[in-house]
Amino acid sequence: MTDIDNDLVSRAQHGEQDAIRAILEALHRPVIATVFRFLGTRFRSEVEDIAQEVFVKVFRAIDRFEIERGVKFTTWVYTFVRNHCFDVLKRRRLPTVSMTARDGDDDAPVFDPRDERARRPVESVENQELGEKIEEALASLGEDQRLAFVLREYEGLDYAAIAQVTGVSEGTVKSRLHRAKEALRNRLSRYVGHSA
Amino acid sequence: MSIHHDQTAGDPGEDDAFRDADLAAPGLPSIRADFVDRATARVVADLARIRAEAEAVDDLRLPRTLLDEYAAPSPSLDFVARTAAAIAADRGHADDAALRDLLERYTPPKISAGFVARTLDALRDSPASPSLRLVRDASPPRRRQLRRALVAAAALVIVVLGVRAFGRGGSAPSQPSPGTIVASALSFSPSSATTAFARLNAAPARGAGEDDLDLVPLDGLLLLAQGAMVTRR
Repeated sequence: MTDIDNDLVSRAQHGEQDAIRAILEALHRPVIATVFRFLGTRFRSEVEDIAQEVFVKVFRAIDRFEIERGVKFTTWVYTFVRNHCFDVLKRRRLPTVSMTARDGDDDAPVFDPRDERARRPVESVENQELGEKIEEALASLGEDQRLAFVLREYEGLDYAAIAQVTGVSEGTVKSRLHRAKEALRNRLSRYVGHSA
Repeated sequence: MSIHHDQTAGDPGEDDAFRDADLAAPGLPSIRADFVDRATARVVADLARIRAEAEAVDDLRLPRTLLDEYAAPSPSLDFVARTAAAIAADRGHADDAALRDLLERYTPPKISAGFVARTLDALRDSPASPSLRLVRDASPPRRRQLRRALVAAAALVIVVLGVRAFGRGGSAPSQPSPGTIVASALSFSPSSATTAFARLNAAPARGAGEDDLDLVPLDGLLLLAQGAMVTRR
């Protein structure tokens, strides 16, 4: 997990533009990835807007972040990711089951020359199918389990950090992860056996 | 049959002791005797399950290569710049809003109806108050002392003049004779007052009268024998 230097946070709290930009440079990829993996493909066209809203909220509240309390700034940011994603789901009143959107240009991935997968179109199609299977499996989880899984397996947060982000005990985090993994193994048993 | 009974009929916890009357009656519904035992058993079982799952969490692994297939989209190249601009604009708006809110919440204090009266009363009751001196007497203390000295000197001169007039006539006249000038002064120095009254005193002998007003210094007060009062300013 990327960590942010306290001095940088302090400078951002004083409104220094280069400090704010440095934090954005460090955190925008994990935040966008977490938003995308938590909300699913149907939010692909909005994922950057949602991530931007998260950052606006983070920096609106950055004065309330207390460095002395010892909480990692990144962990604190993930609490905003969690809360905002939950707000988005609540606002849309949409079911969180994946629709695996393929039905519009808006959902098409944006070509980025830095993206290794984008340079291998044939392989990318196969991988995309597998990705969709994983996404479907993730979407079948409850929101709490899915968030715990994404934060642990994709973002590498430790149990204590996930507990802080989600506001539950470490034991509950582990329990949720266990259930999430079990459900995913069942759903992806074919691929798990093949890949393992 | 009530809705309550329809919905709960056949439930394992349903028993005859739990009647519609319990819900209809005011206050809390009655609690089954075994509620605490059953709730405790359920909580303990839940904790045990969580503990068991927590202990086994690291036993379940999903292949990294598989998970990596669910790739997140790469951010736009200008995402950071756009977001930094949005944050700067938001912070600017927030600062403006905070200032506006502060100004809107500021209301100048209103003076109550009795404020002036109460303040004047307080000033009147407090002689030590510096502002009270302004109300009572705007004159500086030294000027007041000077005035008192002049009044005393004038009184003395009047007495002396009276005595001399009494002595000249052999007996005290009931009224000042015409042409006698009795003078007083309020605001000139004792020395100038003495000079002025000495000249005034000599004036009747020369047959002087009101024409001798020039003898009286500015701001002086001339009291004629007839009781008329003339001032020069």
